[in-house]
Parts: sequence; structure tokens; C-alpha cells
Amino acid sequence: MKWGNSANHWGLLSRLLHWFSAIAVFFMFGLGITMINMRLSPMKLEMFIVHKSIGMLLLVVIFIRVIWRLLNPAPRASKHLSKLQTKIVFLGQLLMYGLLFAIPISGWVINSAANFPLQWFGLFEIPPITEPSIVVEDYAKTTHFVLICILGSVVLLHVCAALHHHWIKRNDILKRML
Amino acid sequence: MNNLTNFISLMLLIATLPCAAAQQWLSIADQSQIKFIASYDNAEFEGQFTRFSSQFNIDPDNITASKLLSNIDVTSANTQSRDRDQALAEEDWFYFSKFPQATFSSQSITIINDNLLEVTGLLTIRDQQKEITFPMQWQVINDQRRQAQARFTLDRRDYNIGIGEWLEDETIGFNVQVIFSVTYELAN
Repeated sequence: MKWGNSANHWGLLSRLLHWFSAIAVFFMFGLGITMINMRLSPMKLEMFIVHKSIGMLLLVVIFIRVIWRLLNPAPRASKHLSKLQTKIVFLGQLLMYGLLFAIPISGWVINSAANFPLQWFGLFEIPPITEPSIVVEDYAKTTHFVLICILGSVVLLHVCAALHHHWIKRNDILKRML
Repeated sequence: MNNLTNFISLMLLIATLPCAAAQQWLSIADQSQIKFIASYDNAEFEGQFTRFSSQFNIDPDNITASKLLSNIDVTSANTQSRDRDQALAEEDWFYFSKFPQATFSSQSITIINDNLLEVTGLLTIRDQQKEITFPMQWQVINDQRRQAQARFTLDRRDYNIGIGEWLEDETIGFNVQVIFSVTYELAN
């Protein structure tokens, strides 16, 4: 079991970070939708606190993933994909990386503009990145929502494509990440 | 005639003495602040009441007879957070529609030293009234102005602020620091 990527397989670190991000993103979708539709209560605030801490963790994870990808080249393009499909896959990955940066940052802006403290899992305080402002808060909320909708769509395509290759085309594309 | 004039003069002097001795100091709104520091998820946040008035009636000959009165419009609470400020208006918190005012009325004032007083009085917020005691700096700015500064900690449960399911401190802490920094102007 190698930490680094090989020519045909994603390494252990890439896979761990990928699957952690996948689980966390799905959990965050569910948590986010549930909490914004709740009436104000300590439970709602607790859910926001957890959502923010996981969001900041995802920001760190995507940072590590990009650094790791630059240091440790991805496996070769699958022979089961055409050149156009390979390009689309790369653009899709680039878009998901970008969204995984932008979404936590827009959430951080919302929290800062709304003037709420941000304690990372109760361990230490993360400083605000903007001054309190209702205008900035509203703008960041819209941005956060739009970016989440885009990520949801891309993730759906990503999952469908992976399952299509695994179950319909019966190639090794999904297995490279398992 | 002379005796009568002297008598009237003496009577007038006696009659005016207590008035001359008593001083009424009134707060200057744009040079005064009442702030509070509370906590959310164990991290502090700050707010302030932007509308309030305070009056300090001082009897220099009998400082214990002095009276400090403050009236705070709690609906002016501003924590620079829309969601939080809206929540403060709710029934579980300050209940603005029913209890828009908080008041403080001193019961005794003692001198600790030249610039420091100890104030004891009744603080009323919502439907709760509690006696509190705090040290208060009282400093001369000039002949016409004085600066009062005090800082004390309240337990929000004593005033029914955050009732029902909010009677827990996992999200919003129980302790709230109050910082009183008020400039007064001599009114008479």
C-alpha cells in the first residue's frame, strides 16, 4: 500500500483525502439544508457551529490535496477514455477543486460579515476575514448558495460517470480510487 | 429695617444652600457608551445599547444620599449581527414588545477613594429586579464634565434573558460583562 500515486492507481493519501472530502461534502449538503430550514434553537446553532468547523477543515484538506497533486503527479489518463473525455475529466476535477476552495471561503465571509465568532471544533478561534456588513453577508450567502448548486451538479455528474464506467463499461476507472 | 434686611438675606441664603450644594449631572449621549460582552460557542462577541440616559444627583455634603439613575432602551441593542439582533427581540430573550426598557436605580453610594465610588442599586431587566454592587470610577474632566466608568458581570439567567431551551450555556454563555462609560454634564 503506497502513499504516493502510481502510474495506474491513486495512492493511499490521495484516496484517503478524496473519500474524506466526498463523505464530508455529502454530510455538509444534508446538514446545511436541514439547519437553514430549522427554527432558531440551541440545536440549530450547534449545527451551524459543526458546519463551520467541517467547512474550515475541508478548506485545509483541499489545500493539502492540491499541494499533494502538484508534488505527486496523478495516475496516467485511463486508456478507456478518449482525449476529449480526458480533457473533460481534468476540467471537471479543476472545477471541483476550485469549488472546494471557494465554498468554504464564501462561508467564512458569511460568518465574518454576520459578525459571529468562529471556534474551530472548540479548539481555537479563527479570525474574521471581513468587517461586519449586511451587504457583504447577503452577497456571500448568494455566492455560497450558487456555488453549492454548481458543486452539487458537478458531483452528481462525477458520481454518475464513475458508476457508469464501473457497472456499464466495466473498466478500472473507479477501482483506481478504491 | 436693617435687621429685617439682614434677616431676609439670611433666610434666602439658608433656603438656597441645599440647592447650591446638590448637583445634577446628566449623560451626554454622543460621548457615552453602554457595552456588553457575551459569548457564543465560548468565543466573545460585543454589543452595545445605543439609546440610554443617565442622571447622577450628587449631594457633595452627603454622598450616600446621592442618586444614580439610568434608563436603557433595550430595543437599541446592537451586536452588528442581523440574525443575533433579531433574536434579541424575541420572547425568550429581551422580549422587546413587552419590556422595552431596563433601569438602574442606586440605593447607596459610598466613597472608596478620590476617584472611586461603590454603587449598590437595583437593576431591572425584563420582569426581573436584582440588587447589584459595583465599583465606579468618577473622574473630573473639567468643571462642567465628569466621566463615569464601571464594569461588572451579570448572569443572564437572573434576568430571564434566554429562557426555555436557552437555559444552557453550550451555545450562548450565562455570563455577560457590562461596560458602562458615560460622560456627564452639570445641569445646574
